[in-house]
Amino acid sequence: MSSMALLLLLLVLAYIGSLWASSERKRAFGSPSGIEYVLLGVLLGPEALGVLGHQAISAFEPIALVALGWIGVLYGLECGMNGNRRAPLGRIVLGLVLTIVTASLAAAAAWWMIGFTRLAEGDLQLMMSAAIGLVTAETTRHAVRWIGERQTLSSPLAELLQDLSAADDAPVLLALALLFAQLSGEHALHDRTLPALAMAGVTVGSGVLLGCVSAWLIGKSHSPVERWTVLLGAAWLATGMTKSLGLSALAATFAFGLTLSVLSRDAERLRQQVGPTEGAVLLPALLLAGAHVRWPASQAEVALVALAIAVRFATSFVFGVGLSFTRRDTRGLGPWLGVGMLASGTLTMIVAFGISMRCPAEIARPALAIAFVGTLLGELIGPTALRRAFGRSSAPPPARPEDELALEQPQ
Amino acid sequence: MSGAAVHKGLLTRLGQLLVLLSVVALFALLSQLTPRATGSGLVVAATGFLLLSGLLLSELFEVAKLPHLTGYIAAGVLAGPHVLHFIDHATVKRLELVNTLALALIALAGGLELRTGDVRALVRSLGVHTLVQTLLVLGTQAALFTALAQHVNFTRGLPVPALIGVGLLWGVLAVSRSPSATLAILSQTRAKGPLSRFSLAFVMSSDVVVLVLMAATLTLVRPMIEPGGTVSLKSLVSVGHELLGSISLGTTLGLMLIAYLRLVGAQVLVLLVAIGFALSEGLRYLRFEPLLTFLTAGFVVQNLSSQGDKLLHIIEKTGSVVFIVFFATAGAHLDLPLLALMWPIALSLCAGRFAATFIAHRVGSRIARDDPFLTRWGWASLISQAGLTLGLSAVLARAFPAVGEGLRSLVVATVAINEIVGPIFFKLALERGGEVHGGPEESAEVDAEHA
Repeated sequence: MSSMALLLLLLVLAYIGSLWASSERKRAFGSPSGIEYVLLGVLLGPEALGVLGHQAISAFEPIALVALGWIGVLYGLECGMNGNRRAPLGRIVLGLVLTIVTASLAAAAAWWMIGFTRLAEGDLQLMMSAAIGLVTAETTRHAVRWIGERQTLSSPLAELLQDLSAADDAPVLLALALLFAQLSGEHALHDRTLPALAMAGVTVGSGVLLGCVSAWLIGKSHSPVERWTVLLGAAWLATGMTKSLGLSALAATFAFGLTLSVLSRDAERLRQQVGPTEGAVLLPALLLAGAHVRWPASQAEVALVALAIAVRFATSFVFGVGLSFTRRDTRGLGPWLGVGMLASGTLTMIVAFGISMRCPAEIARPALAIAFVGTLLGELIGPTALRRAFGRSSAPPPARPEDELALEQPQ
Repeated sequence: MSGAAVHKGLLTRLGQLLVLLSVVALFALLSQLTPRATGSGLVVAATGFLLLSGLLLSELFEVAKLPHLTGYIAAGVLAGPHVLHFIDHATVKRLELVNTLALALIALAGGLELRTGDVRALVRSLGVHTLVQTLLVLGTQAALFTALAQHVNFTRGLPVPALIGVGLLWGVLAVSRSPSATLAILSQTRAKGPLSRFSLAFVMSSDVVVLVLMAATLTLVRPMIEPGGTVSLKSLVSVGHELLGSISLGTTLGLMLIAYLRLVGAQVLVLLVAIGFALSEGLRYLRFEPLLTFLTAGFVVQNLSSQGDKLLHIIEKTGSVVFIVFFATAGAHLDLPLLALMWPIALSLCAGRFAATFIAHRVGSRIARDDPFLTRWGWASLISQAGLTLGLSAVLARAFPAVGEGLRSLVVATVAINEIVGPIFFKLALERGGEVHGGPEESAEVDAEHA
């Protein structure tokens, strides 16, 4: 496929994505994780039909980069939020613990398997394990939201799950800053040497600095056009800068979005302004992510992928069952909730895509494969189980103000 | 920044300066850490830097009542390969992809601004001015160039017929104007009035006139410049094909846009981005003129449907972003060392063009019996030159390799001056005529509407 044909395909997807995220037909079609677009990418990519060749894919690296950076901004702006309200701190902390525990267990299992099968050793073993941990850590935010958008029923369980996953992107994306800084190595500034850890600081620091100046500029702006200019300019600067240094653009733009969300008086307005762009950026990114997927190169890699997914599923299942005992209205839903927690959102594929664009094949290949297979399997069973769990949880709470508004608006 | 100037206090201005310095420091840090950075990361970072610095410089330049466009160009010059070296030539070249989209949106907005009612009212004036400007500017600039030819290195020693031929080509280049600069100033000031209407209609129609004129002149001067060259109507036929093809395709696109706006009406911006990239590529392949195609499409939407204002409003929402990247890239393109080398000749030619444009406008206004304000200030929008002029000079460089490259360098130097000076005069004229609208209230209104 020529670059022009791929560009057109991506634009068509962006168009569909913008419809996907538009308020009036909010995600009226498609799956929570957008796995069908990843599958399309896999199908068209070099591992299947070969319609999208390596050359065409690499020609679109700037577009992929911009898309990843923008997704980081969106995650940052929404971090800690459940709809229009901030999630309770206790639930956020619990969600963070779940993410960190899942990622750590998966990384530890991967570390053991890599050593056992002698796939890699030393730094490479460490970084492979870390990358695998990062692509197994996500919870079910998109799946919960997706079901919520299809059912007028808004159960306390859905609220709880949304709160738990409100900030679970943060540890993944910040850990990504460390992983990429480690890969990037030391940098020389005048006659000083900046260690890898300092480069992780540069990643997050540049995002925070741009977030601070953008919050001030947006506070002084008088039109949406000005706000767009500031947002795009700062996001692209953070994205391009970190990419040039070999650092994580996703982490930098996440820090940028989070700083804006915390400091800007217009944060709510910004969220409303940029929210509809999510689909337009996400779908082309998911297609390109799919096109980057490579099958495991050896039986050892297959075993590594299987183990990581097993650990991820086991941890999420146990957590889901455990969660069902914490509330009176969710008791008895244990198995449904446990299976429901297996669903992944878009973050898993996006993080894996970011890793594949930066890391050597030994790290990128298993990470993308785990993200792809994990998301696909989770998609097959997770949302159905979650829907059951929501349906069975008793006493729906009063509708949230935004739901009432949505119901009042003529379609 | 859309909308007219909003009064901002000293503290705000100092804050903006501080933010600008922080952004420059951040990019300087990047340059220090990766001195030889290339690739997609630098392109994306450069675009972000140009957006932020262009926005901030345009705000700071407001203190001196300069147009935002000057700030955008200054940001490009500052970041470009000749001042801070943040962005090298290769990166500037890669940023041209963004310009493709920018030009498409600019031309579409230009067409949407042309309403048949306005054009009909101006048709006599436009006809007279087009004729007088073309004849007078072309004639005087050709004569001036021929007179100065002994001081220009690439024409020194040329035989007289060749000298006249090159002079005529220079004359045609002098007739070209900048639709993008005109639209950028009108978008910033939200100007409405006789000068805005005249400027827009004249600059857009002169685009077509210049294309035809260049094709005819190329045909005529070839035997004068190249020994053994013959008069061939091939280039005229090619221009006819280009113009007719562009208008036909533009009309079709316009009708399709009307249908889409009526039947679907959603996600128009994404559609425009898709059309801007994809159709521009297709047009390049077909050798049609993208500016004319999109201009025609906009004109069709505005005048054959009730969807024009809706589409214009959607395009204006992207205005700031598009204009900043477009003009900042143009600023980064400016060859300052070349300008330093050629400034005496470039300045003389610019002064000559300025005088000729001014006199031609006065003469044209007297014949057309324009209103007094248009007579006094109508010339101000005709000074800017940018992409079209540079594009034509590239055509000449290909057509006449012996003198074309030299001519192109001189064009780059004169465009640098006209690109900076022209918008300042145009904004001043719009302010003097009281055609500038908007302000804090209007901006707030727009904000509320978008919110």
